[in-house]
Amino acid sequence: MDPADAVFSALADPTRREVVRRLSEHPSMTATELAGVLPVSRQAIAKHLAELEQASLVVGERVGRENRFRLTPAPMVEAVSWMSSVGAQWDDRLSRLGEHLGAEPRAGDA
Amino acid sequence: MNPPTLNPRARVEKQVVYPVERDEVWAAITQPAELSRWFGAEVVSLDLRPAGRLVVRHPDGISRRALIETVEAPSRFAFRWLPAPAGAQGADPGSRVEFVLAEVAEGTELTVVETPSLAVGELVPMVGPVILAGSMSDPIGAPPRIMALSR
Repeated sequence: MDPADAVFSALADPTRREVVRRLSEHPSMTATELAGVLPVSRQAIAKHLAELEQASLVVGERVGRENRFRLTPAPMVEAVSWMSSVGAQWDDRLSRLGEHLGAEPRAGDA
Repeated sequence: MNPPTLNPRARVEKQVVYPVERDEVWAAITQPAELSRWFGAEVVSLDLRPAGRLVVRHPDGISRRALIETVEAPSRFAFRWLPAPAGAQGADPGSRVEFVLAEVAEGTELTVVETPSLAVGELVPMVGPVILAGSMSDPIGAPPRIMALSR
């Protein structure tokens, strides 16, 4: 898979986007710490982290007895994560605007 | 420090055709009462002119302010969200939102483009106050720092 496609596909999942967002607020986090702030089990978080690692969005490193994860510094990561959350927000808004106008929108993404 | 990385991919563009008159869509995006019904935030005030202010309040109580840049009824409306400090939803570096309305055979084609105000490399490492302070100190009327991304 093209690296950009891998990134987009890894970020297509809302939980993984939330994991990226949380990681962006800390230097590094463990799967347990992430499970503590997200409504998902530690096992599910570990799976999501593995997928994000596969797409080179996060890296894990052993610190003492813990496996800590952090975002990779690639600028594209931030760009893609910003685009996926802002894009989803506009999808919601434009669909509500359609309802407000009494009309079903006909076209999708440009 | 290196110059900020410009990533042309940091851009959201959506296009929708609504089977209604262009004036109706224009009113829906520029009249506070209508805007409040679909935007996902309550419009507290909207001074519809270039350099006017838009203030919205989100359901969680957080207010955001925007500076209006373009008002060309009934075809173009653009504003710039001012950066927000770190809060419940995390820090926001600000962005530019532009609406373009075109008359088409099926009704009105609405195009929305949102672009981040900061270089994409600055989007995520906003944890500490340092980078945020830098973006907050921009004078309100400062020209966009990333021309390539804002249009």
